[in-house]
Amino acid sequence: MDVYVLSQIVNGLIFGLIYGLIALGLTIIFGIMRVVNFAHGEFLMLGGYALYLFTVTLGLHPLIGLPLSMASVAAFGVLTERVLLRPIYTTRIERPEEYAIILTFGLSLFLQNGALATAGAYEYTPNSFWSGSVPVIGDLWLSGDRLFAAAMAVVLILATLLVMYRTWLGRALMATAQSRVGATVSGINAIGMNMTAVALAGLLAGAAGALLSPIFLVYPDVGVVPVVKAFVILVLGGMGSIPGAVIAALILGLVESLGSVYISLAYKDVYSFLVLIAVLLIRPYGLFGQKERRA
Amino acid sequence: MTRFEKLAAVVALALALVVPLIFDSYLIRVAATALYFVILATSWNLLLGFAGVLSFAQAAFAAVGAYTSGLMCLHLGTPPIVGVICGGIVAAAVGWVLARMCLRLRGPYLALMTIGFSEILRLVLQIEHEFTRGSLGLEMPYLFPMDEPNHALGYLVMLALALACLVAIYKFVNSEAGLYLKAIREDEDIAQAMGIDTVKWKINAFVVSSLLAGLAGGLFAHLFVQVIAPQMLLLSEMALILAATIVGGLGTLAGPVIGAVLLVVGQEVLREISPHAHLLLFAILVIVVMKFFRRGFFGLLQDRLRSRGLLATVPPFTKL
Repeated sequence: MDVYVLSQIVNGLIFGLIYGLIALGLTIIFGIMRVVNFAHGEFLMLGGYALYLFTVTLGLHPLIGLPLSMASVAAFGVLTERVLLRPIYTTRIERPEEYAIILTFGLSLFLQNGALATAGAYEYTPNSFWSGSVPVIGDLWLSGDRLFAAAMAVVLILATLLVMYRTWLGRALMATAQSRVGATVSGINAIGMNMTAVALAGLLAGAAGALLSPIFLVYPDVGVVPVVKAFVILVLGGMGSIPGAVIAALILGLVESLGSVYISLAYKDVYSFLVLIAVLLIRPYGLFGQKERRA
Repeated sequence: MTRFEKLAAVVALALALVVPLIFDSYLIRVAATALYFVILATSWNLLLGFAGVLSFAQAAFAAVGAYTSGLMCLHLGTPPIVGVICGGIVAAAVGWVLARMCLRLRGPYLALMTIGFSEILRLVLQIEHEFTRGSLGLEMPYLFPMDEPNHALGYLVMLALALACLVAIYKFVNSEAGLYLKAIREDEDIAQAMGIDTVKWKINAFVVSSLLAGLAGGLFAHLFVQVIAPQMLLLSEMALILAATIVGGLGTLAGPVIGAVLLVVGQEVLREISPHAHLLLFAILVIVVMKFFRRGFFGLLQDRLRSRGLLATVPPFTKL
């Protein structure tokens, strides 16, 4: 296999892992709250700006900046949940799905234009996590930032899976996803679970944004294209399925890289849409989703 | 319609007709932009406000109409009027395909699909710049075979389409089909149990809505924009349509009209501060309106007018 193909595949997997971070958060929010967060791309953007703020403006080490950025985005997510999304659960609201989509879309518009108004239409470069390149396999060299992003993504995805499947908190989250009433009856604070879900998703989105920012820089609409891909992953994996999101993310990363090698590089971002169409035609409930049952 | 409603409609129409007589060319163009948004917001409102279908592709359908027509003029040399009509048909056909794929599924699939569709179409138009002229912009010849674009005439054409669109949607939502759509919006399960083919009617509404958007996109591009670029598909364009509808009043006929006019006025007033200031303002307004008075500005007005018997009573649907 020549180096070009290999590098594309490795890059595809790296981006798959980053998409995984984004899609995992989206999936957790959807699974627990039944809300698609249309402002998720802007959570990503906030993570990038936060890293710039911590590393360049305040001059902290990027390894300290990363957890701080993640925490800031998580805090912002919790604020969003508290102010905008909680009424869905505490008051009787007509057509909650429509309410949630429009509010989060409005929030996304607000954040993008807020960033444009405060930071301007410039590209910011946060400090690099690991400058320089590293030989990986044979002649294949990767930039340190990409390797670091991939490694951190693996760590964070595994940590999330661990929390979801091996702790009481994860069990409570899953129970809430399955049945809010059942979970509440068993003594789980379902509203608290909403907050936890958004915080978790904020941590992951903040990490993805911060990890991508030294590679692709930060600007107001940096989150738009990645979040569209995360939407595709959400559908491909099956809405609300956690293993589905991780596997679908890797599949999408590979499809993009193989598509750019064998079909056309210019169309890299378009393949995800073809995947979406194929899923909706062949297996609309996704790889790991359940066929919808309604009570 | 009550006498008050007829009076309000006649006054609004008279005001709209006076515009080309008293305004200069620049302001006529601004007023035509308002009409463009009136058409897009009204047709989007047919989806969300009446059928409960949430799409993010209304700006994309306008772009499909405009690009179809522009590309036909460039590559086939067809007259713009033929192009506009074909643009509308292509937009309706694309709308049918998207709706067919997503609307048989419950859940947010259509919202996700349409947001993907508009982003990807934007990328494709940019990538295929040899065919579409990409970011350089596709030149749109003037609609009529004239040397100088005549803004007053263009305004009247847009006004005619806006009126046709409003009348068509008024008829549609007040027909039996309109009742089906409202039933679907209120409770899809019950609507289905009552024997309504919910998927079919949602698709029908979607096709009508994308047809109108496609026609508006083509006409406006030929009359006023003259050079179109893939920026037409940015999600912020869609956000303007959404904001106009929500702020004006979802699920009402007058709401999107009021919202579109407010939007364009806001855009002109705030232009001096920053070209994006109106987007920020409208984003805040969307959040505030959704959170505190979901029926928009016209919804607030509606209650006052209705309690005085000035508006026609509506069947007792649940409040938004």
